[in-house]
Amino acid sequence: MLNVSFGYLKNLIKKELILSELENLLFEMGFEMAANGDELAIEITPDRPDLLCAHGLARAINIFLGFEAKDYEAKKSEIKVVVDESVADVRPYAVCAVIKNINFSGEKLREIIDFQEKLHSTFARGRKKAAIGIYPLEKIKPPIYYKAEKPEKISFIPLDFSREMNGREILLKHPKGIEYGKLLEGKEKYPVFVDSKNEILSMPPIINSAKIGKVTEQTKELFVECSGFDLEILKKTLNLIVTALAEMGGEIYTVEVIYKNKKIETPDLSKEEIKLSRANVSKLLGIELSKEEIEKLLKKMGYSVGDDKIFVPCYRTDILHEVDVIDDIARAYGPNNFKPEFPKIYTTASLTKKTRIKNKIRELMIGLGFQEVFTLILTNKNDQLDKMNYESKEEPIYLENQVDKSINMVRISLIPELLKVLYYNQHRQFPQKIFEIGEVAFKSPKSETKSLEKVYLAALIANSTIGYESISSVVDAIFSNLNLNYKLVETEDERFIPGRVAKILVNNKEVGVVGEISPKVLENFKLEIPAVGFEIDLDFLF
Amino acid sequence: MYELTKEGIKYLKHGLPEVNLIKELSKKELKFDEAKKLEDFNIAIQWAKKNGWIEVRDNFLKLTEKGERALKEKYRIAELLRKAEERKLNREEREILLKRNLIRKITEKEEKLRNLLGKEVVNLTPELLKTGYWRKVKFKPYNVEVPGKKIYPGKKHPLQITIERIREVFIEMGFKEMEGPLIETAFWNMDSMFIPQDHPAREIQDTFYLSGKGELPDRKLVERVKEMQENGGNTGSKGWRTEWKEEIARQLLLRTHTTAVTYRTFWKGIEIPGKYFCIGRVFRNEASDATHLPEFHQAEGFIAAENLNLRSLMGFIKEFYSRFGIKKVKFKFTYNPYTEPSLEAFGYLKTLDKWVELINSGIFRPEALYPYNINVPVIAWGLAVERLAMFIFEKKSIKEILGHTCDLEYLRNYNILKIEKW
Repeated sequence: MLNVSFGYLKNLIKKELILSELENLLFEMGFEMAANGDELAIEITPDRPDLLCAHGLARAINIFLGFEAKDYEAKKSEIKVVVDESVADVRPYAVCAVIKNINFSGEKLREIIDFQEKLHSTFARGRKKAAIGIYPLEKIKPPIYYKAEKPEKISFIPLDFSREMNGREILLKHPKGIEYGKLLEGKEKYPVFVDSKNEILSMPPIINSAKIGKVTEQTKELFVECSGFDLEILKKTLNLIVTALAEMGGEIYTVEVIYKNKKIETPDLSKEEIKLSRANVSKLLGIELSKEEIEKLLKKMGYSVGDDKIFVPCYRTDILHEVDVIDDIARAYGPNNFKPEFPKIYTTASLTKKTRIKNKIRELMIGLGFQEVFTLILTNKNDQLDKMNYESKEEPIYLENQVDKSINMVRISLIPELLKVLYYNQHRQFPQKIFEIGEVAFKSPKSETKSLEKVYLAALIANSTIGYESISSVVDAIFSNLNLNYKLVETEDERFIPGRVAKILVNNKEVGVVGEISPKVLENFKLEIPAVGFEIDLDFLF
Repeated sequence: MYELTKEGIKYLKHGLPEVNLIKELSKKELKFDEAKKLEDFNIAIQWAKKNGWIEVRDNFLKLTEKGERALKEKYRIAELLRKAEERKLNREEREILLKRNLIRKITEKEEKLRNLLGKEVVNLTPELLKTGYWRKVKFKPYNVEVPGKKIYPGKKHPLQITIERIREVFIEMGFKEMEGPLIETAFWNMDSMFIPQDHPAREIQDTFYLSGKGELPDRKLVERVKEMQENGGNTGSKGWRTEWKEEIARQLLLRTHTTAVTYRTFWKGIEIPGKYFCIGRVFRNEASDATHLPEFHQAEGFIAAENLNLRSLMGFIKEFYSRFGIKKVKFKFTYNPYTEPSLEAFGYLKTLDKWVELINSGIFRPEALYPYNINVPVIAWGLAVERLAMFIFEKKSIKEILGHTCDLEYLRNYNILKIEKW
């Protein structure tokens, strides 16, 4: 999600647009927008981190509208970063850049910090894949060293604090340390960037120094680094940041990053060539496009085209395959310019046996005058077991880390859920006759998914005068209409009134239970009307 | 109370058959065959013989002396019939007539019915029908213009009506139904379809993870999925460039989409050309509000065939929704990790007078088909059933459509044809 004011974004777009035109344009490009006064919330899909800042989005819009795409170039700076071997076990790679002549007046500083955080939480997967650091170059004395130190030996004033803290303290006390500390968990040494005066710039991926790591609106030159585990991913991340800074008017300079056995110049702003076959375009999209048309559409999406070659912009991270380029062609062509064509393909149809059998059982229950209901599969132990006085023979499946704290298990029975329906409808006319055909699940250590899923049928009748016979006759109707011999055998079941509950046997195998709901259970569900019911495991029918 | 039977009434009026027989014989002798033609001959001859009034000689019926005498005397049975009419029979006399079935006992019920004759009755009864008295009574008119008292039929749930219509539409178009488990491994829910192992949607806030680890399928498939995830296999794709771990794929979870079912079906083997669908519950680890619950139903389908493309996908979606009365559909590109291009369709709803999102869809990426040796394009889509049901039944909260928070009053009274004309 990109939150930006219309006024700010409008100034970056080279064509005069009113709000509804912007909305339509974004929709055509594949992004939904909601406006609340001047404040816009634009939904950016996860494939396009480059659009997570106003300057990045404006870049895409301008190119889409036909304005020339900027060619990013990096001049050589004299700045070097030395990567010490000690980081190999913690966070082995870093790529760096320098930005000069940046002007952070207005909202730009806030925009770039916001962009940095968005990249951290999305593309960089919570700073796991990449952590971005931006520093005021004016305060740093190069060369810069990237190395790992024992946390006790690391000591600096982190951003938003006024006293020096060591590495371990930062993880325990600094909000960013608490949030991202798990990324350094168990590491003997923590990574740091230090300058030639041994002044700490930052402790990635956690926090910058307040002394030489704090960028202000007055900052004119930046040192930028990205640390992580995969060079390719880091280079892409760095490109996202530096090209956004270039869109803000900054000039990009390269930095020499010196590893033990190699030297690399970063950022690498070269555009990757990608092969595209015209036949595959028409195959995937169902339209015939000339070479020129394809080139025109690609340019609208920021690609460079020349000598029959196609180059992907250096800030795009989502082009894995030719189909991704074809998708961009389709976007540029416009989703609503395609002529839909129903695929006339002859095939035979079928329903699963389970669906067919469930339909028949449902018909029968409706014929018996029951109203169908749909309750939830995710429920809680209190309703399923405690309020029911029930101890299940099978082990239930419990949830972990659920956001909604009112749920904690997968249902093992439909009856408690149906009792809740009765509770919600106590003011409605009686008798109330309800049923559900639905899934339940138990643990089952031997199966592929360590669980056993079943389909149950359950029904309840609630009325001021109601008895066992009212529900045993429903059970009888079900088995009679299945031409099945069944037996009711008196049983003990705390959910029901003693002496008014039977298990249902088919071929001497227990398939269900029928009885009068125990007054204790009714009380637990705050019901003031008697109820009778049954539950049958339908699996033997499938 | 007793009354004459039909026979009794007849004999009282026209004389007893045996008396009539001897009267005939007193006029002339009759051949047996001629006599047979007389009314009630069998009864007549039986009683005339028993009384010793006649004899049969040379095939002629002849009066005996006793018979001659009887012509002049009063016959007891005839006397009793007259007495019966006047209700003056004593007990012994009643027995005689009862035996000959000339009188019968009147039940209390009949007694009551008789009191109704000519009067207004409320109910038509089996007795009125049996005795034919219905002809002689008047039925009390009702106020037929008063609406009937409320009764409630057994009914399907509106969500079921929606599910069945979706199923019908798929069947109308030649789709085969698929099924699969609610509890899945991350492998089938994510890895199998090229969702990277560090995809944000895998994180706890979106997925219900369960304790324990599930089993992975066939080694050959696992290897191919690993290859496709890490480097794209031979599809020309770069893959996700991160190490693929079996441990992550073995995580158990509640399926987050029915695409898991599609992928199990891919692995079982599909017909080409083939069309498949499934409707089932899916789970998202999120807080509930008016439009979200941690679980809902998803309807999913795919077509695998030569020459399918983006226009076929759009064509299918338009046709599908036109069968739900949504004729105006527009498209927007979107992103899914396993389809490219990916499309969202929006439909214009007359009832709300606005465009609403209907469906997410796309063409499976080559990487997402590579492990299953599917070499034709596969177009696929998924939609939330409750959302469609909420549009159709004009409900503002999903809790009115799914869950124990339903209103029986609504369920008992909703229009069963709503889905045909919303």
